[in-house]
Amino acid sequence: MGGAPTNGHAHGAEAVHRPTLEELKERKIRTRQRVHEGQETITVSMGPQHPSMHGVYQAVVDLDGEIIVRTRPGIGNLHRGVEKLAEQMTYHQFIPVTDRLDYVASFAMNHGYCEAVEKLMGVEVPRRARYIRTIAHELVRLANHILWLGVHIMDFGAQTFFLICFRDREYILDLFEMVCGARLTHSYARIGGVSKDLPEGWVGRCRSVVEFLPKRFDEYERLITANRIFNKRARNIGIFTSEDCNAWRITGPTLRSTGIARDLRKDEPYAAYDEVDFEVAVEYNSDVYDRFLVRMKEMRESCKIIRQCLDNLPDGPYLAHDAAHVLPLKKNVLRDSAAMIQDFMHVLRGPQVPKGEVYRAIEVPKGEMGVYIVSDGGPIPQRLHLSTPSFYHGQAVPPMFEGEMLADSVGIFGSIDVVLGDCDR
Amino acid sequence: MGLKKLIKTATFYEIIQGMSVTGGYFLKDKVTVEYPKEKIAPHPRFRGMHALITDPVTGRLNCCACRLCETICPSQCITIESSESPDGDKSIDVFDIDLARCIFCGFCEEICPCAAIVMTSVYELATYDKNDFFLDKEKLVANQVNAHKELNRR
Amino acid sequence: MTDFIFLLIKAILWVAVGVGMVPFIIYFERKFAGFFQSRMGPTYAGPWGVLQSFGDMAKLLSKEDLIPDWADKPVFRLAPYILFVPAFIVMALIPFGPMGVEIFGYTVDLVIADFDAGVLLFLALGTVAVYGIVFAGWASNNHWSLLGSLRSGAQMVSYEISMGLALVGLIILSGSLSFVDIVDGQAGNFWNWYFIPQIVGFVIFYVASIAELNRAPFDLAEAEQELVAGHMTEYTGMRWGLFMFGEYVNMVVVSAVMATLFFGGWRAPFEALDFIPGFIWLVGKVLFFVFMYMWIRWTLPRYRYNQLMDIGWKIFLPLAIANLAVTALIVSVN
Repeated sequence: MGGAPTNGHAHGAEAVHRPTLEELKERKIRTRQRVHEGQETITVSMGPQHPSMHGVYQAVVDLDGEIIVRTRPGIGNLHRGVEKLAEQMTYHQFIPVTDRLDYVASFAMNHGYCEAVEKLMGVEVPRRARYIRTIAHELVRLANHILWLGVHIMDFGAQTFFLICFRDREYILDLFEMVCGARLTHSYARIGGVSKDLPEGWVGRCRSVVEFLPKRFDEYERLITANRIFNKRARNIGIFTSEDCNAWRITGPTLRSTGIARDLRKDEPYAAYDEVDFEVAVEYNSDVYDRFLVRMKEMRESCKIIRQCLDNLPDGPYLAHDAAHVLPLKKNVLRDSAAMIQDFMHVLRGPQVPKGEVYRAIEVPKGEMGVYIVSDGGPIPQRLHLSTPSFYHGQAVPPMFEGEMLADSVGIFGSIDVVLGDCDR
Repeated sequence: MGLKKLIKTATFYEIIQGMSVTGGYFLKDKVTVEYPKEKIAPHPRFRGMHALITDPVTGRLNCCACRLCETICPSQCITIESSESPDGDKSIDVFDIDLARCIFCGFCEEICPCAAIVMTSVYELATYDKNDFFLDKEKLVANQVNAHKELNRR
Repeated sequence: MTDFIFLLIKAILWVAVGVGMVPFIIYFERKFAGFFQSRMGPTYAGPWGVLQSFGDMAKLLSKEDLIPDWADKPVFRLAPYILFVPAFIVMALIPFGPMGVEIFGYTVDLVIADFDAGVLLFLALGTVAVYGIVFAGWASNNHWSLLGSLRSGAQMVSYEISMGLALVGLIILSGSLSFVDIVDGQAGNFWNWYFIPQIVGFVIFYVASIAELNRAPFDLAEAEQELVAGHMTEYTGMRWGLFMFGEYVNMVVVSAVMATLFFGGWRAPFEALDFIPGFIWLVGKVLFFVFMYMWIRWTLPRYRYNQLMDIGWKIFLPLAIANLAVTALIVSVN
């Protein structure tokens, strides 16, 4: 059994024992030693129709008793050829398609894509738009983590938690419906800003939600953090050390649970992240329980960021004035012939894009999302490559599963937070 | 294992704590909205089924058949055919939207230079007949009663 | 002759109550699950959805009865019955009122069978019920089912022993294995009930009973998130319904046993309340335990099966033996 359960925020990480890399490796090796080669195995297929597999991921596992000997991952059941689609769409048109990558955190995907395109085109995003993007991104992070939390705890068998989390996620989805008209597929970011300004009364409502959610997080913690069953189940399973994470390109909360404070929001700030004060959540045990703690911390930090952004929300345009690259404001289109021509040009011809290639990565809720664009100067990208976190996380499943119990496999798979829309693309 | 922790384990402290949370929900008000009986009104920016707006004065379609929506639509679900009407204006012969293809991104509404196509609050789109997904001009015009009061002129 | 008629009436009545409670307990399970999750649960069938279970039953009966080609068919058919027949036998042992009551001029014992070794029989039959799960898993010839039944077997050996030992202390206190004598030993107010001297035994028995009932946090054989539906994966329609039914009958019976052993059975908590029939007290206590089962189920995550075995062997077994030793010491000193 581990030490005293940590709340993670009250008394700081100093009191907690930080295992060294060697200790973690040894723990992992001890798990792997449960696998004995040459034993008779049975093969079961977890997914794509298994009730607790997330999405349509398939893991064909060979079992020796309940110990997982081998795992063969199967992805691609949700493949839609997004990267190829991008080669037939203008830069604007592709924004709704990015919604369908990580459909749990659509705005984050919009945001990452738009950041890349803006870097390519050299569009300066107005300050207000950057703040709105930060707020929306953090809201989406909250929604993603809350959903993740419910599903993850349900993987361990607690049914009520799932519905509690879904209930609380509704508040955030409502905010998104107010601001952009959709609950899941937001399509809210635009090249050069966001599609719509914040509606009246939204700021107050958002503030009340981020004041209220931390109370709910306390409730979650009362329900689960110290729970002996969850502690027993989640500690010391699915250990993936920082070395492994780097080798398999695992990012996001899973990486941060290994003691590496890598967070692109801090390391390469974008939007308004350099103007807000927040901490990168880090834990040290590299196991499923610590990934849970990291995400719990991150949710509180998200609330903090949103509160700061709402306090400092500047006035001004929410979309850049850049006729060559940015769609015009609708109210101008209806009034002003220049804006109308801009509208026609953007739709019929597309934005004016310089030649070149660009890579931009941002920290989406699941990890690092990178967008790589090659432009030949035309209105559509010549090549667009998305490097989405779930793909890499899904790859790393076999080494994570090795030597673990079948019962824990769903928990481990849940802990790395894979969304198959993001993975299969 | 400290004495405090031993006592907590023996008295099922954290389990009782967790059960008090669920027990609290047992008594609190429920968040269920009994859907077919009661419905939540969508917010005024909600992107639901499309509508074509007619001019309240002349009764003619706002649409000028510029085909921007047809062009920008990422899923290519809009089909427009137009011809010249006897009085010299463009008349819309065909304006079809295939809802089965539509991804409700709202680009058509956003791009429209004459505020003709809008997205409404209609979200109950499930049907037993696939043909219901095919919206022709009449259906779109008839749907304008459901359009949001304040049009989203961002 | 009258004895036989009364026996028949008692048997039918008790079984009818036990079985009749099941649809409503299933309804309450669903309703309360909703309440714990701050939603409303079933609302459509009947007022507040009370007829939900009957609707489900009609649906299950109208479903195709599917037996997989590769299943071991006779065992496959037999398995659900093994699960709940033992429960009915245990029901016969539980007294629901005092012995020798005058009803319409006849003297009646308000128990179906005053069996001398009732507690032993209960433990033995509880073990039999596990065969239902093991058979179901084996006969389905499906990997998930097999894993479920293997877990169930592993689970059984780890909790049965501590469950039995937890009761030995109580048996020393009461000096009898008969349920009737045990209830008589708890006569008086509620502080005479055995759960106070035997609190350790009660906790062990309660936790072990959750494992016996295959309910969360010990629903390892079923484990929806891991094993799809465990031993029930291949069952459809009313055969699946029989498993559910069996689970809930077992729940009623184990609750009744628990009430009888530790909470005075049909006796009122205060002697002053004896005017209320014992039967109502018993049902009330049963419902209380059933509610606790639900509350626990809808709150806690699930143990892994090796952790349940850890608990069974490393914590509960020593505790039960210690409890037995202490009880024996105190009783012999007195």
